[in-house]
Amino acid sequence: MKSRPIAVCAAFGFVIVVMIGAIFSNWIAPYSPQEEVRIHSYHPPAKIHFRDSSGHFSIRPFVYATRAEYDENLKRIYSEDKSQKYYLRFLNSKLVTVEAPGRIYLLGTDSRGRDLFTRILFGARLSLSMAVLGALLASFLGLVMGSLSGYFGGNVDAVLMRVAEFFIMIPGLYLLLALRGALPPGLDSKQVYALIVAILALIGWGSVARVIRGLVYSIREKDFVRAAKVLGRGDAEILVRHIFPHTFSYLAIVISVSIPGFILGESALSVLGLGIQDPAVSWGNLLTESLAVAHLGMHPWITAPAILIIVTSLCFNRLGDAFSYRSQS
Amino acid sequence: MDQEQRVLFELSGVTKVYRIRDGIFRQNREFAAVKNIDLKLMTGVSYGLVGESGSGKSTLAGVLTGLIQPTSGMVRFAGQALSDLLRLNPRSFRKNVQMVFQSPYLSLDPRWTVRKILEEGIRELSAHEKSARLNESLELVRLDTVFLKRKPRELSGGERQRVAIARALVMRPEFLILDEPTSQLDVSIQAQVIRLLLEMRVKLRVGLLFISHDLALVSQIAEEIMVLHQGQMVEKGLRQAVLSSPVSSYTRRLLDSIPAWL
Ligand SMILES: Nc1ncnc2c1ncn2[C@@H]1O[C@H](COP(=O)(O)OP(=O)(O)OP(=O)(O)O)[C@@H](O)[C@H]1O
Ligand SMILES: [Mg+2]
Repeated sequence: MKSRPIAVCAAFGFVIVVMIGAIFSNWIAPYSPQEEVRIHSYHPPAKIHFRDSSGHFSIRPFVYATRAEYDENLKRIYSEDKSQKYYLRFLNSKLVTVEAPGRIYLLGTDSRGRDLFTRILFGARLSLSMAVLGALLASFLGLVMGSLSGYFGGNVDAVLMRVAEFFIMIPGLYLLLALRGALPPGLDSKQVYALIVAILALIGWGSVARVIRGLVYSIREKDFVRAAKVLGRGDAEILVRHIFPHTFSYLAIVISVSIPGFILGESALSVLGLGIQDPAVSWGNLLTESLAVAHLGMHPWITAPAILIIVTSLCFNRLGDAFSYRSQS
Repeated sequence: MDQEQRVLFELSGVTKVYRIRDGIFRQNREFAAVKNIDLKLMTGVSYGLVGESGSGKSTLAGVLTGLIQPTSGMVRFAGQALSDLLRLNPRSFRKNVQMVFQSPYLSLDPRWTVRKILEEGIRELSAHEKSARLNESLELVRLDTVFLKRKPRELSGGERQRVAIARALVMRPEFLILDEPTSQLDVSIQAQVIRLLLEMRVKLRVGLLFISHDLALVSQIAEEIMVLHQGQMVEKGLRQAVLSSPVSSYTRRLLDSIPAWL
């Protein structure tokens, strides 16, 4: 496979942007994710203007006030009220806001008039952190189990690998559902968060452990490991100082490759009502709201989370490919 | 020899059997790599161990360093059973017996700098003592201190092998095992390393076990020569005796294959 630097850079850039969005969502998002403006239900993305109806140009962008009317099917149609201008304000306690009482919906609103842009940013916080934590925890478990298995061999190896194979054998999605289903309903969102991270890690560690075991198995036979033994270094020290560093490039690949799977896993749980629930926001429960086919025709902006989930997953995959390409050459 | 000699290693009836898995359904095969070895190694002597590929030389070296557990037989170090010593006081044994491996391309961790590699065995010492030991052994192997910052891949094969020798020497060992230390180096570098070892012998009075498949090479440094053939010790004696009147026909064949001009 050829590595295309531009594609890799774009993927990397996108991932960074999403991460920054997630980390600084408090500051970037104009509203709070729970703030509802019922009269703005299914408001389309705002049109930002520089030139007003009379043709005057303004260096400060602005939005018009909007009014809702109902058509014969009782569908809301928003139209701009050209007599009311609200100028955008930058960097005043938030990245972008608009003069009161105007509202700015960069990606439109949902059925309850909540700002989708805001909710996507706050959703990224939960979803990405769950996926990243899950991936880190899975690789950590995989590293520990795989190293013990590969380094000591024998019965330790036999037992650990059978356990790992058990988790590898069961398709991830079913395991996810079974584990989540087996646990009590009515947990608060923090507990659900921790639970999902744990479940994701439990699904992921087996395959990591198996590869790490193979790596460690081959590294422990190397002469520099034997030399370390002859120099009097103990097993723990040899594992940490000689063997772990040789697994890091593989772990970097695993982490970036498993993140998209974990993002999708969290989404799947939410769609089935087993994931993060309102009022907490995750990409998964945003996706749930955009599932109805009707949205596609009537309020297509509601599908933004779905597109974001797909693009983010693809970008992480691209990064993983780039890592594995680099570690091969 | 003026200095008092002690028995360092004493092996009696040492056998190592490898179990080889031959596919899933076939029974495990057993293979005896060294058979019933009796051996006494004294302090301060340079020994040579010769044998063709697969004769069990590395296995024997592994047994002596404690990396390989013999299947049967007894290994004693300075009068104590090696297995006990490794359990009770591994540090003292590790300090005294060091090893240089065949390939300097495999025996140095590619991620480490030369300094880190050389300090691996003496991490617990004070900074002052560490740098004194480093300088001492770098000088012995004729390496400049600029190498300390480099990684193995920035070194030539000969330089790497000298780093490997220096790493063993920082421990100030009483006995140094070298398992074909020159077989991966080209001939001119090989001569350099041999010269270095000879000098080291004179300066440090360290005991050596030089392992090689090349009898001519071994006879350049060894005072006593041992010959392994298919896991058995077929010859053991002073260099002159072995070279002039070998007991075993296998040794005679080896001698015949050495060109006369050597
Ligand atoms: N871990 C192992 N498992 C099974 N067989 C082994 C193992 N290590 C060595 N052997 C076998 O034991 C025999 C002796 O091996 P050893 O490495 O001691 O030979 P050697 O004399 O050092 O050979 P060389 O000159 O090629 O290094 C060989 O036939 C080898 O195939
Ligand atoms: Mg060998």
